[in-house]
Amino acid sequence: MERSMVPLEATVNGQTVEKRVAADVLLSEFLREHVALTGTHRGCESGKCGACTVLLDGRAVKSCNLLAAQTDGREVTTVEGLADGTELHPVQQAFWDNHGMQCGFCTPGFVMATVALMESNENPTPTEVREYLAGNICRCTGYTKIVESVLDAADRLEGDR
Amino acid sequence: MSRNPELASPDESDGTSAGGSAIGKRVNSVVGRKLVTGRGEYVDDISLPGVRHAAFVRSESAHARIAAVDTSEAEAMDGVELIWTAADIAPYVERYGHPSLDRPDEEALASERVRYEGDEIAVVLATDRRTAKRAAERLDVEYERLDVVLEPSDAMADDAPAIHPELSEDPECGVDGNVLDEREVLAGDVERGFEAADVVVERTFRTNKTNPSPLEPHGCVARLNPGDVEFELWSSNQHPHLLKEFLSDAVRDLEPENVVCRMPVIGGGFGVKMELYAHEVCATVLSMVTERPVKFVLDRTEELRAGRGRHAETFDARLGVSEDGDLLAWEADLLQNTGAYVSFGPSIVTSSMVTSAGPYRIPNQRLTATVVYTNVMPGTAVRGYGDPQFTFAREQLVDIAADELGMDALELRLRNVPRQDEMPMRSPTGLQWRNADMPTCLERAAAAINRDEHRGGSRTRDGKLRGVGVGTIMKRGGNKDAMGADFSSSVVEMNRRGEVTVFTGITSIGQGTETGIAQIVADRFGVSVERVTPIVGDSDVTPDDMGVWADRGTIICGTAAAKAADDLRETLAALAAHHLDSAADDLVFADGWVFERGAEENGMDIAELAHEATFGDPEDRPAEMVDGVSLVGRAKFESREAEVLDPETGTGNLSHGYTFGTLAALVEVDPGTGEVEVVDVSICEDLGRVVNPTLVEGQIQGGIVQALGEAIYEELVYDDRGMLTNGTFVDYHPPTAADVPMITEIDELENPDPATSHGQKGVGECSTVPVYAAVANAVADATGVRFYDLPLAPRNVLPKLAESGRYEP
Repeated sequence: MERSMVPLEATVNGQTVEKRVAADVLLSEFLREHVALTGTHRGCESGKCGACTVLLDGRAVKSCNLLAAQTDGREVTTVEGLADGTELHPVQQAFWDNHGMQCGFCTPGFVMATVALMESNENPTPTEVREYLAGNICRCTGYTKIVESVLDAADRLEGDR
Repeated sequence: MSRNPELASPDESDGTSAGGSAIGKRVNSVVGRKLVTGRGEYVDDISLPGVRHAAFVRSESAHARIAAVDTSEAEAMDGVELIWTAADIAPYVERYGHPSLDRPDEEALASERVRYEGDEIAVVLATDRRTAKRAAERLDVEYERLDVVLEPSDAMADDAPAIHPELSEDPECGVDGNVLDEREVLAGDVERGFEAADVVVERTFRTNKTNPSPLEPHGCVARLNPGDVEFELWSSNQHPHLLKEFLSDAVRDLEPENVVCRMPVIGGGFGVKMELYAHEVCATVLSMVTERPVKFVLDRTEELRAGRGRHAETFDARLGVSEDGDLLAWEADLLQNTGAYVSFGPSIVTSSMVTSAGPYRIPNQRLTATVVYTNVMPGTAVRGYGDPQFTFAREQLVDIAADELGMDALELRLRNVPRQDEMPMRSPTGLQWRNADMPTCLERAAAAINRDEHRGGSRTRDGKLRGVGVGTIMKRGGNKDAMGADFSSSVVEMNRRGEVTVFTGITSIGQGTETGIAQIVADRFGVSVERVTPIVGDSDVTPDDMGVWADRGTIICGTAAAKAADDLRETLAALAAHHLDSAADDLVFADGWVFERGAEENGMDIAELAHEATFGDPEDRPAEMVDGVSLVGRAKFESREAEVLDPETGTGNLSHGYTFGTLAALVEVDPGTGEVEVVDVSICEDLGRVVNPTLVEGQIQGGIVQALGEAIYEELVYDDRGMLTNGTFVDYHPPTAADVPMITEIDELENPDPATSHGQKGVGECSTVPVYAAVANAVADATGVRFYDLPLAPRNVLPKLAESGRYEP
């Protein structure tokens, strides 16, 4: 059975990407295997674990739940698109400094979800953070240091404003 | 040579130089920067030219003969290069199993029968992952179904079908029917102990089958270099050096000297990445046959069906206590649902029986274990290694006994744990307890959660039942492997700029050991951690080691690294002494400076010393260094503490060391729904010396939450045909941030272990051990109803609350 191909033009981490892709290629697969952005991880491929979280037009989405073709004309940001050269994004720095990661496999997803949270709620409470992040699974940290990282990131971003 | 006045005064508190520097500091993870930027390279991120992708066809029956496999439709698909079944792979492989257990019961691909849902039947090789998976779905397997046994009691029935008949029929092999092993541990005289007891409590406890689900699935990339017949395996596996041996055992004509195992960044392990898996064997063989790199990455549905996990165990357990509250006798019959293959089953029951009395001095003990094949996914090593299950039984009996005695359960515990001034001592089962303050752990964990305020149960304003419970920790760290040793080797090298590299055979699975080892080495040279680079996880580059498991990384490998650093430091000290006109023994290494004790101005920068060693005038050196100064230190550390167990009694000093502690949990139970919420946790552990408080807290918090998930939410549920009913993360619910409390009441005592380099003890597995027990005790405190079966999910809790008649439905 021939797979139907569609043209795709999207902005990925600020760069225009033009490709023909199979219509059934998932966004996570596209990012990892077509544009070599392997920071987006596949932990469950069923939309539950959130390791594949990226930003689509600034909103956190699970890239294993979207087709690459759905990003046509839109803007995708992955974990690789956050740092400014060697300067870490404040959320990344907060996760590192607070040890909000252990094995690191879920970390890109949590970092991207946190970046999105900071857009909608600049000063979340611990409970708001825990509820917002309930779409991401971490098996290593027990979450306390992730929540502390997010709260610290909010402080850092407030300082930047 | 003048000292930078801005540097702080060196800490010489330990009197050996280089005191304190990097130890105990909240240093950021040395791998953290690449992880937060998404630049850690995991197996699935490795891309080799010409790579082919493999996928399994897994059994859709829990027990069956394979009548036929039709590959024709799949073979016709574009991009499919090869489909192999057992007959195809047979010339290349041997049966394999845990090497020390002498039950080689696994096949890379099932030859005649499948033994659980998920067993590997065929492997597809294709140009891309998607094609391999699609093709695997199109294989047509015809099964002749056999009777299925899912519980040990059924598997042990006279008319039960044998799951491994060939092993049962082999007189050389200890398998009898489906009973694959029986083990016993004896201490004192258990009959007399029970006779002397005034109160005897006895219950049956059942724990649940769970899957720790490291978020990165298993996977590997295999590559043969046909030129020099060197074979490389990158794998998400916890022990590169052992994997090389295991793989050579399973693959014919593959000699260990031709194998290199390279471990990339690993996305969590928790024990399930410790043995040889079928995907590693198949990828190896396929890459040898096709002379192409082969990538084999499992997905989550395969992980839950076949990624292995914690055993379900049943305990018939008894505890005998005197009226004064002395624990006199402890007895338990353990029945392990081992699953379809032996894996670590017998080793886990042995370890957990020897340590089953926990921190208590119970003079008379008898533990027996029956290890039984069934048609469910095999269990394996998982964080805690049988201790969480045993602790669930023991700590509830302690609470029940205290109730019967009319004694505070904390008081009963305090009466029966060793005091620090009694150590070093042998436990009744032969464990060497060297130095720990267990009474303080009990008192502080209880105080931190306000146990006295909550005890006895109360109602919250929204009608929930609140209660508090404790559980204890006495967890082994390190191991006496059945092959006879627990050891680590390390090499430490300094370059011309005074920067240090430490080579160690651990792997990076998220636990932070590489950071801890960097701190240990930095401490020895009195340099900052930024100047130390750990190299891990490569069997070609790092010296021989046993990998990361049993909390051995920081205690065994860390001690080896410290010794290797000391070896190099001797060279540096000799050279520096020559230049400073001082005695080597009088030199201090601190803050990047080597100087004479008491005369700090007579010193030199360590970078300057390294430069001198590399480019200095050979004549201006100690005589033994005139033809070159080797800036390499090396050492091996082998535990002299751990013993092989006595074959008669099953007792002895199982491990290098032991970590003591206490955890307390505060829970709220909704009597209307049966939901249990853990609202607060406190923990106090005696960790000897905390190398990095931040990383240690992370291990403690993670271990607690892993066990909270198992205590309340997680359970692999099979239907009566042995098919997994909850094989995705939607149905098998790992806890999220919203499900668990923030864990901040973490207290660390530091009574050093004299048998490690800095006094450090094992950490990573310990906090997992007491959680089921503490939660169960808290739920009993809250509701007045005791629960003997895990998980404490509404489906188990609500019916018993209703049955108790205490709460309106």
